[in-house]
Amino acid sequence: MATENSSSSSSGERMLISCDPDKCDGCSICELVCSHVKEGTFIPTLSRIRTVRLHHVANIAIACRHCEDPSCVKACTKSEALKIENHILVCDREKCNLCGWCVDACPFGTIFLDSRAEKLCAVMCDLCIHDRIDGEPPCVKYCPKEALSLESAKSMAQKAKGNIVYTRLSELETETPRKGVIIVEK
Amino acid sequence: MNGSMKGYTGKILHVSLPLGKITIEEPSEQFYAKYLGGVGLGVKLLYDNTPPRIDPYHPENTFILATGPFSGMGIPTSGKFAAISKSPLTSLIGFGISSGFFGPTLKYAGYDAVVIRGRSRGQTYLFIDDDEVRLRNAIHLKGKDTVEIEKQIREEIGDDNVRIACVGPAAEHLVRYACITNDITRQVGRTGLGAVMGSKNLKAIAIRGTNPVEVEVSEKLMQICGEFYERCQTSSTEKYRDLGTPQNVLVLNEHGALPTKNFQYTTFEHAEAISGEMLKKKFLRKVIACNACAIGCDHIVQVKEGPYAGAITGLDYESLFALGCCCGVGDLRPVIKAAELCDAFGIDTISAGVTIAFAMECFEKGLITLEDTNGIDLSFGNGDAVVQMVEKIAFREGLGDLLAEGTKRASEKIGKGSTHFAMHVKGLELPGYSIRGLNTAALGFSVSVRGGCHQRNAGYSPDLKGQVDRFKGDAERGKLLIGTENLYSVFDSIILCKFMRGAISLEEIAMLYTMTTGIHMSEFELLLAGERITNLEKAYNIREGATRADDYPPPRVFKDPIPDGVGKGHYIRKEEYEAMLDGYYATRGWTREGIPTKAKLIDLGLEDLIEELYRVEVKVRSSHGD
Repeated sequence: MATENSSSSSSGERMLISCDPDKCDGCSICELVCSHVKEGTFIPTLSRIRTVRLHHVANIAIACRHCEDPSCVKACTKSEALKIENHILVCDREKCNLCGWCVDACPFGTIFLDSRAEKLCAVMCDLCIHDRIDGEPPCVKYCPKEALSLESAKSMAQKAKGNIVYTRLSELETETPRKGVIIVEK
Repeated sequence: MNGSMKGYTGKILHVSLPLGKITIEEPSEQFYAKYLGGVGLGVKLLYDNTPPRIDPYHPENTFILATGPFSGMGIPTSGKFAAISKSPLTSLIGFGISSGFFGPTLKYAGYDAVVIRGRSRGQTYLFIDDDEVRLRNAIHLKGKDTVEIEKQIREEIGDDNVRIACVGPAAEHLVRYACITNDITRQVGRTGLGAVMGSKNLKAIAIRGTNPVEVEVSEKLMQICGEFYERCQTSSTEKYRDLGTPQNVLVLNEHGALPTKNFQYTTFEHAEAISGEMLKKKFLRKVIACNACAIGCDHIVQVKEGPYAGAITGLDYESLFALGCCCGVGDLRPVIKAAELCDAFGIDTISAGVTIAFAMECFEKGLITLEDTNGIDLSFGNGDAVVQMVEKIAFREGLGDLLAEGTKRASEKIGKGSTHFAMHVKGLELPGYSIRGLNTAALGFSVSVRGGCHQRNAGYSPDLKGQVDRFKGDAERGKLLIGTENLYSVFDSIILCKFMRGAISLEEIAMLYTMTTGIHMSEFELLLAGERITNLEKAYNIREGATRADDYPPPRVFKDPIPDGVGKGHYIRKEEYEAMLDGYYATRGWTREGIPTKAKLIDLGLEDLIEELYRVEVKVRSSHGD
């Protein structure tokens, strides 16, 4: 599970919930955890993180990526209703008019409109800044396959580099004879 | 609205076809506590809402879907649902459990169960959209496979949150073991409930649910679930996560319990080639999970080369045994293809495989000829023939028309002694344990209320673990079965996956029940509910005409000594079996005929069944043909 703690996410670096699709098996426990933490009940349609099973073998969980220059903010028709604060996308409940342009604009489909009477606004992942468990966002904490992690742009790049090395190494192992086996040719 | 209910929604939706008229039933808290949910709730609803002794395809046979109290709230493996109806294969109680995401969505829509009766005039599907329930035309889905149906309905409704359970072409053709497929990879496989949907012209049930599930004590629940998620990563579930149930192939082969060539042999010369190890090494693409499951056991496998390249399916041991060694097939590629087709056309892999294996033995013995098969060489080991027969059964073409009736009816029609090796109990084909050398399992599979089934009690476990002498039977075996049988009724009604059984205690289930529903439940009361449900299922069977004669394994088990493996020379002694069955009935508090005594029914709070049960005239059903 992720090693970052809450202090690093408010230290001025962009963070997001990242999902490793190789590890994600689509169980959607993250949705149940999220709705429980944020709504006090269990209902995936109000979860800020959603799992997608595109095919038997293609599973991923997606939450707001808190983009640097987000198209949702540009699309917002109410000035200052949707904005990035300390690298986290937030919606001002007072200003939001539920027009839904942000939902249309988000290329990841991670914003939804909560139109229940008492809570009119666009809703997205807030990295659970105030709801961390042992320093981790609850979805990360409870992900049974350790597919979710709280990452910065930098740590994701490092991870990607690491992964490519491991992938290449395992390819090399299958391509070349095993250690200790001497093959004499010719 | 039953606003005070927690855990449960407190509502049962009744839908009457063809017009789609709906009524909502709101049972009491006591009713829920008595029957728990899932199978228990469903069997009770079936008993109360279906006239006795009607044909399973009669419009008045109700078709029921039910969730458990834990469904939809993050308790690991709770994302399941049960389907319940009178079985077209056994004409007795029929039910099955599937997982995926359909069950919790039914709950989010606001219902613990749906009871469907009547018959649509043309192909329709039911769309449950929270409070709105509509019937939609499904004529365009006729003949389509299950993957396509799910895709089309989701596109039509235009919402990814819609979950779908549907039946394929096999159900339209009333194949008696047609299954129900939900979320593409999961099935209510057994007892032919897909055919009941087919008989109602009900192509699918689509659900959109947006209502939160409330629980009584919410704060600590997530933390407790978190502890279970961690427990799901420990050794108690390792088998399911690693090789999955196909690990059984080599284990059972070694124990001389791997049913091979229609249960003639107990070991398979190509066991290695179809083993779980081989499956993982050569075919595994990904292991995926169902809703709220922290284990993850659905092994998605794909064929990479050869004529079946591209075939993809979730394969477990039971499908593998039935379409593999039971048909003598020692190559995983046609097995994967056949399983993929079973899922696509919507037929139960176990019944399909065992029925084809039965036809193969008929072919071997000359009771079926090349003329009957339209030129298909039905020799054991011919994987291509298995693939071809799956399609023929699904569409009832040629010999497939007869085999679509299942082994019991097919053997009665073929005659010439073939009932001797028709491997079923009550009409339901046997699962993947060779019971000739497993006395406790032979009893367990035979007394199973839904017919030949390994999921009602863990009869095979004491045999294979060496707790008892597996080659002998005595009256004590009955006692051994009853514990797991009642426990499994609890699992199927609360609905937790049996793969959790090593990772959760009965005490913990009772604790979670009280925590989520607010209804106090003790370990003792839970087990009592399990016993009550098992007795209710039995009472239903008796009402439908079942007798002691239905609780026997196929004749082969009593007569043909095992020719190979560690059990060589053994078979089940009839007199030992009678002793086991007597012991089982006696421990259950049932008469020698297997009828729950009045005292037992009163003990279990089932006194309202007495009148009907004790005025039923005994009608003899044909059990094993001869």
